[in-house]
Amino acid sequence: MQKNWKKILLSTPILLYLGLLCVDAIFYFIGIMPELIRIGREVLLVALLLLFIPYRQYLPVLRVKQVIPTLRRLFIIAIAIAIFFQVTSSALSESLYAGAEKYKIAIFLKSFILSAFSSLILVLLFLVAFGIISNLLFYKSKKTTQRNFRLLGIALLCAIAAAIWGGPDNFRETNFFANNFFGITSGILVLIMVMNAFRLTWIDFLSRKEKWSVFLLSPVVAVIGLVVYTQTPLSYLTSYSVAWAAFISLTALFISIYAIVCTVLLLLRLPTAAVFDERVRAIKSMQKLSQLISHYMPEHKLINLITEMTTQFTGSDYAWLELQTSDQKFVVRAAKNVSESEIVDSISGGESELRNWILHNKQSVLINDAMEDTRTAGLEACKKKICSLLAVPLLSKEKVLGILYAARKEINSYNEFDQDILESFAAKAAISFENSHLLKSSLEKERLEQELQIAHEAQLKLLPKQMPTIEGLDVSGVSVAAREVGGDFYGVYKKEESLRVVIGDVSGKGTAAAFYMAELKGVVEALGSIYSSPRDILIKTNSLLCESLEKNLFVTLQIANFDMQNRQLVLSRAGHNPIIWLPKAGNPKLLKPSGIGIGLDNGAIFDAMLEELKISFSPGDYFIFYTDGVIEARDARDEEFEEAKLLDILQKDKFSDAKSLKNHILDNLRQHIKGTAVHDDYTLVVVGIQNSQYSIKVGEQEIAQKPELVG
Amino acid sequence: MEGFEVTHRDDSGIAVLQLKGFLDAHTAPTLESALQNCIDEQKFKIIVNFEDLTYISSAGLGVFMGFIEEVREKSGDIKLSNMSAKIFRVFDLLGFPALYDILDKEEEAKSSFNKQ
Repeated sequence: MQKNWKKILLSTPILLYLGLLCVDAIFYFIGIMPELIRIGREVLLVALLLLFIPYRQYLPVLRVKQVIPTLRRLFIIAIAIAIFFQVTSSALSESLYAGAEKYKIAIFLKSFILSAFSSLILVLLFLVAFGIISNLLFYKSKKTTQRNFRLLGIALLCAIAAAIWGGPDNFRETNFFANNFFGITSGILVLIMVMNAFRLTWIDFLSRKEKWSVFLLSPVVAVIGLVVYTQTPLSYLTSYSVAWAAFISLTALFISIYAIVCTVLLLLRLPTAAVFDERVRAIKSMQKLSQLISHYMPEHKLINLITEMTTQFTGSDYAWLELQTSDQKFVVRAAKNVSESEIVDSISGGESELRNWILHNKQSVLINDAMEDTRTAGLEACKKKICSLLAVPLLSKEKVLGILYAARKEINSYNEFDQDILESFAAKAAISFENSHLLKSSLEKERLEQELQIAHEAQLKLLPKQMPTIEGLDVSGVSVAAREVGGDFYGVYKKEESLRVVIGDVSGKGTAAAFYMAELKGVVEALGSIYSSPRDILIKTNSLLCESLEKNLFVTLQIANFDMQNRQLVLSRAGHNPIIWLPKAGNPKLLKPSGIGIGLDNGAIFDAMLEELKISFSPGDYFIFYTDGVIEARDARDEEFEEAKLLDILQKDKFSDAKSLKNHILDNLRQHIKGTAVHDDYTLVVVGIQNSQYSIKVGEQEIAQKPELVG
Repeated sequence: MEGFEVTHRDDSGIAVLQLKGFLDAHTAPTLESALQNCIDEQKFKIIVNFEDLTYISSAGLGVFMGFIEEVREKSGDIKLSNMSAKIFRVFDLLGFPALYDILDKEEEAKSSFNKQ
């Protein structure tokens, strides 16, 4: 439905125009047109004009929003109007209604139809021109723009109405503010036109080159407008329709006024156009940098980009960038149009006075005559080339990351604006450096995390995957690192009819501890295949590890052999937490033979202190090995798990096997540290003696073998 | 987490380091630099008073091992005193008493230095 209405509405002007043409023909042959009919015809022509307005949305030329293409189209239309107007005016100069009676039909066909069509074409051209100008007026429009434009439209309609009222003769002879309706209305219209003509916001957005071409072409448009304005009243247009002629001449006048104002404003702006351009360029560079900042860029690329852009937007001959290294020195990292050695020899040398000034004041420096300034006294090599200089610090939280320099060959060639703009550029550059660093370090961090994950998996492989099975023994163990890798270690080895349990702890935690843990495992396993006595293995381990361990690191280690043949535990302890012996009947006991940690002493004292303890075990006994991480695990209030609590747990409960005992301890431990991070690596190994063919022989005697001094 | 403090006193040629708080891997460097200062000042007779120390980790123990050799080479010593039972247990477990002079009171440490 709506579409149909639109079609009807759009076809109305054409029907109306054809209808009017018929009416014209009738009255042409009658010879006289009554005043009322004349006014009615003109009113209909004005309506026709207004009915053309909805067509604007179908014209691509009016949809262009960019300034330069819009101006180009306006210029082309102005030229088209000029040519068309001149050609038709000279062809149709004779009066339309005064022709020889006998040639009436021929004249009608030749002159009247032709002028009717020419008028229509010209009106349409002006409508388009008016549309284009209205687009320019509304460029970055304000609230008042709309209001002023409406005022213009109303005033134009009033003036056209006055022209219709006054008739063709009145229109031909009347000047502005003449004492009749048309004179007064057109006078007011001109004032409103001037008011609207100052809407030239788009001028500021033209580049210098564009300003020049607009400046040169707008007078042409102004002249065309003026010619059309002055000649229309006397041309065939007025004869055809006063309303249309008034519209054309007044619109031409407006175009002309607009072009004149435009020319004058451009004339005023041309001297500053270069500066304006420079500023626009600077702002654009800044935008470009902002965009680049949002992408990750390797530092060396960023450095080159910043230096390159500095020469571009400050219009400098040279630019270079020095950055602070990790040892607080400043190094030239990029230089544009100048060799690095030249600057190092002069401005950016080891102890530059200029740099010291910047570091001290944290401000930028503008030097307009490098020869005169004391801060550039060392400017020997560049004397001839660098005469003006801008030096701006790249600041990040009061820290000078680096200094950006821009220089020109001429003296006095920088001003405060250049300094300001380079300062804000440097501020952005500093941010992009920060970002680049942050991103780099986070990438680095990610890489390290991956490596640690690999290390974590590698370390897991160092721990027993499966417990060796040995008749009469039941073993379960767990080791948890506080970080990805840790210094705790345990191993369970089967050797004929005995089982060896090794548990150790490298002091400290993290990567360093993990390396020693790996070494410890290798050493203990190698020595374990040679020696069978726990004490012997520990003594050899100490003498080997003392060489490689750092002075302030030590290892606690405990080795226990479960000899199933003799139902005996042989145990030696190098500074490690004592084993808990949980007999089937009776209270838990701590087995603590004497012995100092590995790495504390490299010989005699270690060996002398180290005891070997022998215990007879029975079915139903449990032996609990653990590292300090278990009893020193802290809860949210920093309270430790403590040995006493561990013993208490073991005393109270009964267990079916080694695994359930281990899990019971772990549950208590996890309950204790709930809500806090694991502070230290912890390891727990439980060995249970099972009922077997071995006869039960309770043996509680402890045989402490005093060691002999070695060496 | 509690902090850690080292107070340095000078008692007739003997340097006394009074420890306070929590000695672990994070706070160990403070003690390290305090001991290093003593050595830089050519003071090789050092007493470390543990009276106000609430916790010591393996990294804390390691600090003494890092310096004892050098101090003893210069015919000095690091003596440890005023340990709480809990702190002593950590030292004892590791076998420190076999290698270090651990005394109940600071005064005893002083007099043992003076006897030498």
